[in-house]
Amino acid sequence: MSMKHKHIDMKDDPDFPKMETGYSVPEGYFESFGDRLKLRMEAEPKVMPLRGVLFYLKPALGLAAGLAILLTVYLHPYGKQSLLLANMQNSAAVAGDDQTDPLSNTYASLVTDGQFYSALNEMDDYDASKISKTELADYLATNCSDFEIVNANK
Amino acid sequence: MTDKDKELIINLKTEGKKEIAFQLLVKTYQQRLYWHIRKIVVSHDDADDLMQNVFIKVWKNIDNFREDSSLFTWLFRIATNESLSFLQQKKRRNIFSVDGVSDYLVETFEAGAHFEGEELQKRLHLAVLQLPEKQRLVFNMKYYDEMKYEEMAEILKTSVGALKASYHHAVKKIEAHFEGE
Repeated sequence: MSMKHKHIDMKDDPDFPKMETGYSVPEGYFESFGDRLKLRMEAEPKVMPLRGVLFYLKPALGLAAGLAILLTVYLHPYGKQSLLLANMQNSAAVAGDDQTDPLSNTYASLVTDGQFYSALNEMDDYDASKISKTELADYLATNCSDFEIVNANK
Repeated sequence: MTDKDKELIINLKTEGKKEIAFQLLVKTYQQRLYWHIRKIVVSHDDADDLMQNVFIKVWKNIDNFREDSSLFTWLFRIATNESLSFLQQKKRRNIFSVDGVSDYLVETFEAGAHFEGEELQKRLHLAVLQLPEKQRLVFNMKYYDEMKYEEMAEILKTSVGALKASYHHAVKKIEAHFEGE
């Protein structure tokens, strides 16, 4: 059927009937699709449920958030000065013999030994092979707000 | 939503019944989803990959399905998004072509694998593949799948009016393409 020099109105033209696509599939494709899909799903690496990820991450996130806050305060010019002044005022070694790093005194006041060692133990038990770096980054980017990260261990 | 689909969804969200329900879901919808995807991406191999991706996404996210649309609409929406994302990736990679997607699709189609249609069907495909992406999608769903505009509107989250306009423009372009041959 030649279509040259003929106005084609696809909606109404009886010479332009509804056509099938002409596409085909390999023989038995649909019959075997379910089995191939199952094989692929079984071969995919198991992903920890998100609740499981948060369970392992909470202590680590809390620790990281605490350290981040401390570092920000410590490294910020104003923060560092205030911190040092506060320690100088409170410390019994104002005379200068005590070379203790003021940061460690401040850190200890924010995180108890129990919390710190507990978090370390849980990190030791955490098997990094259970979750890929990409999945972890994606999870943190899409599921944890800054507020959530800071308050993760509360 | 049909009672059958409601029951299927309940079973998909029930531990112990999920696997059997999923097999039934695949069997029920695989052909419709496949042809929808195939018309978008043209290649059988690409359509096969994408359909697997779609069902894997369904498996992982069925608990998040809020049932505010029919199961069919939800599946088709996922399939459409997967297919369009795939084409977007192709477009980004084909930096030498003004319209990388159309060129890629025409090349794929002319490679001829798994096409057994007649000359007229081939010419229609080549005309459709020249259309902008949205018009191509609407044309496929309206002309080949004979979907109602209301159904398409739910899947594509576009108004019925916009879809009708899109289809009208698509048809005019295809007619002009044939007249220009």
